[in-house]
Amino acid sequence: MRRVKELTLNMNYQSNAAYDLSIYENKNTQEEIAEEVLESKPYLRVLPKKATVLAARIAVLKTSCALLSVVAIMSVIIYNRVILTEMGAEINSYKKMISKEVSENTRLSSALSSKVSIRNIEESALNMHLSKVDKFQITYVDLSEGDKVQRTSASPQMSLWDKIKISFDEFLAYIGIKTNIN
Amino acid sequence: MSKLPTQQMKGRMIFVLTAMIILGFGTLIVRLFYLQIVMGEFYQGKANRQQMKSISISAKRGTIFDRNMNELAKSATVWTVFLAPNEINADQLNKIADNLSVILNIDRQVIIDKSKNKKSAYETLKKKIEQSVADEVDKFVLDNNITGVHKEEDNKRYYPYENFAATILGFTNDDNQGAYGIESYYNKILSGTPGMVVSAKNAWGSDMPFKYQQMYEAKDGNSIVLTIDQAIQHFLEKNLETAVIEHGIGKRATGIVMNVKTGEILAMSTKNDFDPNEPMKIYDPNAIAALEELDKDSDEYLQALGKSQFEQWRNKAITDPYEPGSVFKLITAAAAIESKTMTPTGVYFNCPGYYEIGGRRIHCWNRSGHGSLDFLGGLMRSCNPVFMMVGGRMGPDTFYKYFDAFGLTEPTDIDLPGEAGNDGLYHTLAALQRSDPSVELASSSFGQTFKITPIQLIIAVSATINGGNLMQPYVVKQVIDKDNNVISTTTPQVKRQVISKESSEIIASMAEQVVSGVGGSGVHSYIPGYRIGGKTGTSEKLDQIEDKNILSFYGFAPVDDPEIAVLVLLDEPEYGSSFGSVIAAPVVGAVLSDVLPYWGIEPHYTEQELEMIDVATPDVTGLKPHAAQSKITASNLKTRIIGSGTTVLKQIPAPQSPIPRGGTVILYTDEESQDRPIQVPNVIGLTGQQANKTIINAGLNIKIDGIALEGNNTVVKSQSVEAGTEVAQGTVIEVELIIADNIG
Repeated sequence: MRRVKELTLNMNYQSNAAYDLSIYENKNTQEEIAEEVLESKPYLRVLPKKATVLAARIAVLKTSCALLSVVAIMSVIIYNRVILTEMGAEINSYKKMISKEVSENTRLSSALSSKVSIRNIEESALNMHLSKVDKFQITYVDLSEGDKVQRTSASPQMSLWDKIKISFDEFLAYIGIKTNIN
Repeated sequence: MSKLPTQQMKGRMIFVLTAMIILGFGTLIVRLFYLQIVMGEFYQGKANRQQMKSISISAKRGTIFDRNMNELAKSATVWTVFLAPNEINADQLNKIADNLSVILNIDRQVIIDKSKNKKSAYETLKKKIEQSVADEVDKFVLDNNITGVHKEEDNKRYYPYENFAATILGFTNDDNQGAYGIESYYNKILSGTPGMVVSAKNAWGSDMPFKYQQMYEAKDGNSIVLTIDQAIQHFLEKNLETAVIEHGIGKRATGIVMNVKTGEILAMSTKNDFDPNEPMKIYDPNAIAALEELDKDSDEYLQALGKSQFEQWRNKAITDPYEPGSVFKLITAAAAIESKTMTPTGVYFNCPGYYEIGGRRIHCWNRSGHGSLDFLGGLMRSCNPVFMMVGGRMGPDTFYKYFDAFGLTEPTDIDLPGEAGNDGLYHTLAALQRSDPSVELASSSFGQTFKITPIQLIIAVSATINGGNLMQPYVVKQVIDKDNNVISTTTPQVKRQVISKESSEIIASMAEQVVSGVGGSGVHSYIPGYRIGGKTGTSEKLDQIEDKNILSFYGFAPVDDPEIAVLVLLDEPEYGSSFGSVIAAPVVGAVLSDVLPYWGIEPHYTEQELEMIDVATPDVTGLKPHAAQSKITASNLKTRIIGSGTTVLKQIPAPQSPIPRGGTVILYTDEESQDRPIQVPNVIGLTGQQANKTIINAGLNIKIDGIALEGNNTVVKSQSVEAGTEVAQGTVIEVELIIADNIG
């Protein structure tokens, strides 16, 4: 402590060109000698000095890192913006391209539809001497066999009047006046 | 001695500094307050305008489909090329004019003139150019480092099938808004809502989509599915076009095909029409000729041009009321049957060729008179006096009640623009009651002295044969979004039941007799294998000085379960007969013969009809004559062998060609005999029997087209091979027969 005081004193009087004469004074007491011995122990003098340097270095490192980080983040942000702008432009370009191709597709499909309209197909067919299927090219089959009633053994018994009527109808059919119905 | 500032000096310095700081910052704060608070809104807007970029996103116009999803109208991106005269380098002007005039196919001087307006930044050169042309413009601009030539995006409507269904579809104007037809009526649905993208822009003016971007999505227009069937529309248009040319139709022809069960319009056309891709161009040859005679710079020309354009755009089927003539007799008949005024048979009328009423003599189309007729006979022969008498028996109240119930006093409200209706064009009940007997009632009973539109007529007449239901007609079946999700569907709507099902069946069977009964006026629409019903119509244009007619025919099928109805009107035919039975009925017959098989209605031939069907000529070339004869006879055909060879070298008709049943196949057995052609006789104007005899005797085969030989007073209208032409023996000559009497 004393040494520190001396140095401080030294500094304080430096500008006034004063001299610290105490260093030339005799060390009178045992206590002063012991104190001096105690003050001269290595750990008491080195530790504060090393911590200060390290702290200073760490501070510099931290500052540098922070600066670097800021610069890096800024760079990344700027780069992102650049990339986004470029990609935006690219997307727009592709969108325009798609729109252009879709429109071209519409135009061409429209032209194609126009060429293959029913009217044009019919005209082309006529020019090739093709014709629609005519009735004479179709064979018509009559699948109907007329209405028939089949009398089975389980049919109701006919009355005498029914038998006379049927016989009379068959007679008329035989002579051609009435069509026989089976 | 020290020169340190005194306390007084220090005080003064602090005061000055404080004053300067307060003044400086105070000014800034005041200015800041002024800019941020007082003028904040103004400068915010200014900054936004400078920094923000807004792009309009045009909504894509919906597509129009037919009922089978065939595209009838669709939109695509095109370009507008414009000049910015304020940017044009004077040295480049000639180069721009020379090249763009060629690329854009415009007058060079137009480009020069437009470039003179140096204050302008936008002078349109050409609109709606397609991508290929736009690419040429781009190439020219880049290759020559041109300034002041730009292009901007636009939309164009494409109608792939040109004038197909033009009067229904309509067209869009330069602003892509519907101007006519479906495009106009459904414009809100088709056009959608434009969107917008607001985003920050960079120094080069390109988007920075990550910053401040706000997007208002465009809502694309919905698409429309029509009830129109592309094939049926084609069948109708094809036959109408033929009729227009064949008969020299002066005031356009129109036709409607509808599903009588639902009210769906399957086809609707008016010819001549236009190409919606270029709607301003005139297509009617007569109108073109008339315009060519006028000075193009005169007001008269512009008026005539506008009138011609409007004329060709009009959908006559809904916009032009006309006197329906005898087709209306089906309505009168339905009213008479339903009101129990008449039955088809049992009551007889006498037609001396006219009917006297209220001191006036109104003639029948057959001035010599039909003699004694029942109600069915009156309808079949389209006798006017019979219907005047029936109208009189019904009385004005009953007649008007049904006239109104059949929807003939109001527009049909079909979903198309410009429906005319017939307000003020028919006799009101008071007018019909004004005199007794009523001349107005008499003339109305057979379809004269009042007007209705073709769409009103087809809807009303269809109600007489479809079970009595007056249907709501419509042309849009569905509205769908861009992903084909259904937004709305139109369902068939019965407005009211006008007559009973039983009465309707009676009318349908009476109408069948008009077509297939002996002496029926609609015989020219007869199609073997199908039960067709119909009614002819010949309408006099009573409100015109000149003697002009509209010929029409209404046909439907099948009679036992009606599905398809066709109405055709031919306005002022120049050539041929002046009766609907002769001119309009075959058109409807032709349309139905195309439509019915397409619609899935199969023919069912009677035995008599089967006997009339041609057979395929057997192939007997290379056979011995007797073997050939045997093979041909087995097909119920006759043979005639010409030549002295031992093998059949050639046969007429050729193998697999059609030949009428009982026809003669000529077999050539040597080369020399084949060089003896015969001349085709002229049979036009002969009766059917005479023509048959003449052609058979000439060594040819005859094929009858149109109506049967027997039972009618028929004459030959045309023959397939011109008289005097030399043909091989056995050649089949097709003759078309028509009834000698003209029927209204």
